[in-house]
Amino acid sequence: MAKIELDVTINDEKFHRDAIDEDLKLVDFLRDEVGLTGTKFCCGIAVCRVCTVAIRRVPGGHEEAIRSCTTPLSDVNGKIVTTVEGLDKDGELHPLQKSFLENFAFQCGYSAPGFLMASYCLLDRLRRSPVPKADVDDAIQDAVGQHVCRCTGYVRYHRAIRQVILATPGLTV
Amino acid sequence: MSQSRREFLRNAAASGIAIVVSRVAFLDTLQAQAATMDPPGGWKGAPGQARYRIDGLAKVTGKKIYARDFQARDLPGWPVPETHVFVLRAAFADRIVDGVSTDFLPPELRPKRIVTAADLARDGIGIAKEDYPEGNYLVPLGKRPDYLGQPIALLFYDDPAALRGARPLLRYAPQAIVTGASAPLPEMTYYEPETSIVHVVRKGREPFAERQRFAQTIGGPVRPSEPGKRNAEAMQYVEEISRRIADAGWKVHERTYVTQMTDPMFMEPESGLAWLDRGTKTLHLLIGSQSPEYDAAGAAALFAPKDCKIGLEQVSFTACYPGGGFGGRDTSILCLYLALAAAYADGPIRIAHDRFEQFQSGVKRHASKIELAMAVDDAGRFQAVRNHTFLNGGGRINVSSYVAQVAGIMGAGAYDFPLADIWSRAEHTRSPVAGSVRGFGTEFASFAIESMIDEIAADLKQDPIELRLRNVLHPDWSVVTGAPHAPPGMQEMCERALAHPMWRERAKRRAARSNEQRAYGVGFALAMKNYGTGADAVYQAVEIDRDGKIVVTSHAVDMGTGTATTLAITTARALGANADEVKTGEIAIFKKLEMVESFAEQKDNPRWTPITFMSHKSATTSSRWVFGVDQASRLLFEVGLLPAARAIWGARASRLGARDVQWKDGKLVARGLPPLTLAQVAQRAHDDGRVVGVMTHAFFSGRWIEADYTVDGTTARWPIDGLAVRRGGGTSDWALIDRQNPQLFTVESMWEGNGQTFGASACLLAVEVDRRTGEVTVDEGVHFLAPGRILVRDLLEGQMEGSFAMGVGFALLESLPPYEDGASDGRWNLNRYHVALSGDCALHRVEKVILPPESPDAPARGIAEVAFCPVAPAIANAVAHATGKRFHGLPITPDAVRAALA
Repeated sequence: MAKIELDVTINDEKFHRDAIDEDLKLVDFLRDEVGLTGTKFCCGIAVCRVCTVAIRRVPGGHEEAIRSCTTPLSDVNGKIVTTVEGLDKDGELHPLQKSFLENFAFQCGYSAPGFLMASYCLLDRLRRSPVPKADVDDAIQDAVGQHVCRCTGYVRYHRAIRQVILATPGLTV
Repeated sequence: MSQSRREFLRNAAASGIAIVVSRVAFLDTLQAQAATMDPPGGWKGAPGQARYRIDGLAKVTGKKIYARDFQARDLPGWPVPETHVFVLRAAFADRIVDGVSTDFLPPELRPKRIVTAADLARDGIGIAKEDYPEGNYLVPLGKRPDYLGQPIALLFYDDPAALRGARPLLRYAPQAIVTGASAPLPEMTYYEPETSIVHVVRKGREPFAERQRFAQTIGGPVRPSEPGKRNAEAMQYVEEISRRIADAGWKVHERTYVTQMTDPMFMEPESGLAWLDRGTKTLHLLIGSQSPEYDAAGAAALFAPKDCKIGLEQVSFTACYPGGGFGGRDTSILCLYLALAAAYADGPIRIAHDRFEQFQSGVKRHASKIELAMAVDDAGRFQAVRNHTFLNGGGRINVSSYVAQVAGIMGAGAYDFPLADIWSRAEHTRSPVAGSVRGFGTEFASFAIESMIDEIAADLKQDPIELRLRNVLHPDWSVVTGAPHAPPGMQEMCERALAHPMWRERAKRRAARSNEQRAYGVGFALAMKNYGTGADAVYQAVEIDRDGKIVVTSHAVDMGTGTATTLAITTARALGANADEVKTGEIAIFKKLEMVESFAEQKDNPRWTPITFMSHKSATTSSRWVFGVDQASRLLFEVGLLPAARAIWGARASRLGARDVQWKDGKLVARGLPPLTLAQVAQRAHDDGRVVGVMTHAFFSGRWIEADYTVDGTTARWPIDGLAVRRGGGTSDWALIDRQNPQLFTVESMWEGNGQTFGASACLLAVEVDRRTGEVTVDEGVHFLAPGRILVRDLLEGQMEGSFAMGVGFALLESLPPYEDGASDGRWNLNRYHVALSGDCALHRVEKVILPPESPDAPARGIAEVAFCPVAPAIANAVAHATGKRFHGLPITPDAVRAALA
């Protein structure tokens, strides 16, 4: 197992490892090495997307939703990772977190971090490229339509995300 | 109500190994963290309402709440680090296992230790024979695996990276298992008891309880394999029913239906930690489970034999929040392997399935075969049903006989049949273990009967819903067991569906929307389903501190259904405020009640009850646990808080009863007296040494056991069978209050009363079928439900939405081969096993019709299973309407559709 020197920023905190397995998957690094267990593991083959986290190449860059269960550390070296633990700021929940709560969007909650992070990335995309209100449902479907949740039937996840998009200035035209 | 499971638990208890179950301690930490983002109690709405789930904040902020999130380093007092254990499983059952070899692995990926059945035998590890009669927790060398997926060995790793590397090589590696001679597959047997329901009425229709000639409610269950006059009489009726079906001149439809094996596919693959602390002889377990008590007792049973060399005096079980369950975490198999592995490690061990291993090992929904015959007269009245259902019970009994029992009880669907011969049993096969999954046996008859009704309607040239209306059970009519428990709402659902434009215009719409490429169709199905088990037991405690903070403790488990939230708002009816904290998955505290269980009545023992506790299943939150907490809250109010309020108000209030006061805007009000806050009343109760905590046990089988209880000189009758109270004033001891004049049960009276309770749901939906690909897409739907009293509408609707999605998966997507190429082969994951995605569920196009409570005192019914049951048959009927082809097996795959249309 080849080792790499790792520098990665996670939730605004810098992490350095002198030598770490380059093939170690990001989800395992987050959960087992860093102790951030908010990112969940389910299928391990990048199908269900519960393990989704947001990655930026540079500060201020695009937030990209990636599946951490198949992403090796070598792919995130030097990048900026945001996980569900990094969504709330200064004691305030992110609007998506609030909306998920108020809409009773999740049940067991195991899929919730993946939906949150994918929709967090969607908000970033819409901020840069707003869409007509009529296209919001399609945009949500593009962002989270492949996410698996076994409890909910998805209705309230989509409703919660749509409410945030429509209530946030600049995301729609 | 087989006794074997109960006997098993008693035997485990009798071993002398103490069992302590408690919730994981993380919640206290979580609340401290949560306080920085949201005020404590921010979830609360007005009394009786919730702004969001009580557990919601932890879930949207990614806190450690699931078993998979924990390592030994997270648990106070545990040594670190843990050893990582891989469970090597058999993907075959036709050869002898001669040994285990990991020589094929690169040296750095080999385990440090391998534990096999020989180790277990040497150390006198026990077998819980009553619950797992087939025994072998690890396949003995020289023997053939009993079933596909049966564990063969436990492989121990110190380095998690080594196990990560080895997993894919071990998961489906035949070279790891040294096999010997081929061995014949085992003969198929079945799990006792099988279920036989024979129902015969003299003539006429409801109300006809007095006209019943033969029913389960008259004399108890039928056991055809046992001698006895009653069983012989039942078999004579079975023959007579067959004769009548053949000779009475009715139109008879006879067909075999099949449904597939599925995986509950809860999102968190099972994980757990275990540590055998040899110093204190305590086995610590941490796992997410629907059945903490059963799992802990099962683990204790392993070490119970007198010659067992693993010294154990206590099992300490920590219940984590399950990342989904749907029944699949009821009587978890993982727990036993955690316990076994811990016995062979110096410190903590961890087993964390990946998804492939979860498919290999997890409990499955039974594959079924339903041999169904229905006889209908010329007027379209159902006259007789013969339903023989055979479930693939897999290689361990688990709860298969109970699932078969429900398959029998629901074997006549939602309809009135004067004659019914129903027989159901779970077959003992080499398939992976099958057990409890949402639907719990009802889904089989739902699919078969609702499909056949549409065929009969076509034959009679009648409207399928009108045919249902002609035969549907009316509220409180007798169900097939003979008990007058049919639920309300079924006629109304049929009538509403009949009047719905989707149904009325279905021919026109089909013509308009069908073409060479696509076929459009509309289908309807009705479902009735029992909730509860027929013998349900709940523990709960409600306590209030000096500041009016309310804490509810329950042995219920919240697996995402909203149990904790619902229990939290339940206190509001009696105490005027939602609970501030709900402790779920607790059992240790309830030992204070000293309840003793046995099926045989112990009249003179004030601690006796038929069952002390149950696992969390069968949609029992709304009906059983809520009732228990509501009653405990009422008791706390009447024996503790109301006397304290009277003391504050003085002599003018000395005669005030519970009906003379009410909670209004958070204050207790009585005419002409100053309103009191809950905190004022609570403080006075504490100052005066009055009751500030109530702990109860309650048992339900068609009715609750009730008894008189005297507290502070006042005697009142309550629907509970065990009571302890705790007083303010400095002492925290619970004091038992003996019951008097109890209205108890006997085994016979439970059968005669037939303690089942039922709910109803229906589904009307439209599908489009792609003629070329064979794909079926749900286009829109109407989902009906008659829940009775609604506790938390958002949670209720969430259950409907989840049920609909799972129903789509059951109908169209999900399937596992039951044998060698199935889940046990280590190659199954979500790339091959498809569950419904949002695009499959007609998102935003499924209307929910929730019928209002039928009366002011309507019960809150269990709904999480019944709402699932009509979805798949409605889809099947819609596909038939669209294509003109009937599908008698699930799932309706693109291949099957293409073949039918070819």
